[in-house]
Amino acid sequence: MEHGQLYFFLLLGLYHGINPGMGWLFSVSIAMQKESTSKIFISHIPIALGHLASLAVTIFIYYLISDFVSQKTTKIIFALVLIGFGAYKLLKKGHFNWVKMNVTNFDLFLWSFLMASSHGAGLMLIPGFNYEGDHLIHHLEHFGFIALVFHTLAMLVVSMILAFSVYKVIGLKILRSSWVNFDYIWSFVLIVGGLFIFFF
Amino acid sequence: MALTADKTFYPTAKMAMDAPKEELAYVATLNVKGKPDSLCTVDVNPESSSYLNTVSELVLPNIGDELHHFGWNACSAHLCPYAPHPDVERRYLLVPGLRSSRMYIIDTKDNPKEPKIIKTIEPEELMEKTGYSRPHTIHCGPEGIYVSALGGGTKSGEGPGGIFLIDHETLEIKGQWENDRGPQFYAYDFWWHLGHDRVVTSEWATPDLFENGLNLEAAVGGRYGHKIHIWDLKSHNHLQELDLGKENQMVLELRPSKNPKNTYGFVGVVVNTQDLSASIWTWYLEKDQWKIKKTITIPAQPAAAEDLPAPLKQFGAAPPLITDINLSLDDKFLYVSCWGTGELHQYDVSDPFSPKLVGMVEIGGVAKKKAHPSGAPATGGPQMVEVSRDGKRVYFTNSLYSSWDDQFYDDIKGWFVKADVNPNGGIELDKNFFMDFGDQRTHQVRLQGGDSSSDSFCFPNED
Repeated sequence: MEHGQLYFFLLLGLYHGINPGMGWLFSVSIAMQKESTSKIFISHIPIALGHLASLAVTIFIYYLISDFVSQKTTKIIFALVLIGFGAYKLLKKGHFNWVKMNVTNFDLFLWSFLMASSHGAGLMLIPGFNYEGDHLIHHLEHFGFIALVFHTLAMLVVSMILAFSVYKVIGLKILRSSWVNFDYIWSFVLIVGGLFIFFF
Repeated sequence: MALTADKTFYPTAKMAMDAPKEELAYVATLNVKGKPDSLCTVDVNPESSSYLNTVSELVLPNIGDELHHFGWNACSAHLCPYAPHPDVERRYLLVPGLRSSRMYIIDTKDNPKEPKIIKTIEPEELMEKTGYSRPHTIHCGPEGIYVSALGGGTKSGEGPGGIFLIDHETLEIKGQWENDRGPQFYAYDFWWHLGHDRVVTSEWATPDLFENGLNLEAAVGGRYGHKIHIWDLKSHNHLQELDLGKENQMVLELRPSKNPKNTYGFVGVVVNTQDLSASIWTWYLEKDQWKIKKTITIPAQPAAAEDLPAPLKQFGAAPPLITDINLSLDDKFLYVSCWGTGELHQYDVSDPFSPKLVGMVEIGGVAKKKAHPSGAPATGGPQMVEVSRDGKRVYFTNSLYSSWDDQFYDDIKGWFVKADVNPNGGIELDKNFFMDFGDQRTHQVRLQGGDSSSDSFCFPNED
């Protein structure tokens, strides 16, 4: 794996970790509801695993398709999927439907899996795989796993630090002062990723 | 969709108490004299030159809607951690006609002082898509906008009543909420414990029992609602029924603790048919079982028959008739409207199982007919009560429901008043705040930016 790719996966890990919709905010609310700091850390295990599982499914589909069609076709398919998904997220109304606050670890795993999937978290990583170049495409299975683990670890660390700081130090006022619309940024990252696949 | 969070959203109820003072109040007014109802925008900013004036009146395009309760499309629940989207804006008021089953969606964003109708859901569409009629309470929540409805989906509205959902983005009806309603039949109010995934609903009656006025015989026979119901928020299934006893007729407003960690709340009972008292009950969770017990009893007040309206002459007493209650955002004070006796009580409910009466104001009343301190005569009594987010001001109006107004009060005239709150307990009517609405009967008040009954919170208080 080249340094550039590693940074790419880590950077997206950082970005997913910062996004309150990917887990840290849920973790804070659980810790508050149960009045337990350790819940910050415990809840992050299913959150990270759910996130990882969603990425793995997406990348698995990516490999599956690349096994059946030419690499060029795979590129075009995924470029279109990323751009299409980004545009869809930008335009669509209505939100991911989950109403449960009182969650088990399995619920949290499932929630994180669904949240990452419905936001196209795995799709966002695909440009990183594509960057490898033609001759390496068949060795990607091994590389793919490492990439996902790196990404998820980065996401986990950032998310946990954020959750801990908000719970212990900063407080929930950050939700009022520092909120940005992650949906917009998310859509643009997907679209830019799609264009990248298409042109490189 | 905005780029940043709506500034009227707060993660916790206590944080919402730091909100700026409201400058506008939206007041629903009902007209029975062949004219349409209105949504009036009132300037409540004492610094403003139009203070205590109706700065605009949105006259509805139909006659006979009977405005009652209404609410916002979005609130602090959009900060809930499972799908945080505080970029959704609090801008539309959903205003149902309780009698017509029509719903108006009114935009307050372009000019908050002059809201405009942007969409009307006609009764036929509402009944067809929801299986309900007589829409009532509005709460924004996890799956969109929840609306309770008192009647079934026909013109005559035979039950069961229930809850339906409206999408908070498209403002389209999504359909009936219940999955398995169990024994629930009557509907009225609803709210929830978001931290515990539980919904609570209460019971007034079906339209045949309220549209033509209070049916005394039915009340004595215990045929109005006397239960509350507990539901699972996620599966939409009925879990438990709590019966307050047949003699406790009409179980109306539900006020759960604003702190999602807590598992208690208050509900008002209009009348006990044995002694004409009214009561407040506290529901609570104990070892996975929901329970309820009476925590406040307000007795009827003896009165001479000649001072009483026709239905009450035989009893020689004025019943308190608790028609609305409201809880401050810090869960400290519960305000109780006694529409019959013309009193607004303030209870310290820091201990929800032993409320203490700490304040009271008197205005109107079936027998006392007490004037406002400004000297203005006041018909009716304290009815719909709203508390400012900071908990310092309590606004209330005097009309209940057209046919019931006429049974209990002669020629009721709408008014809108304010009481100021002493943070240590005690309330006092602001003698300069009396707005006379004349033939327009005043109902629910919503405060600009939110109030104590407009928002739900997913995060427990931080301190």
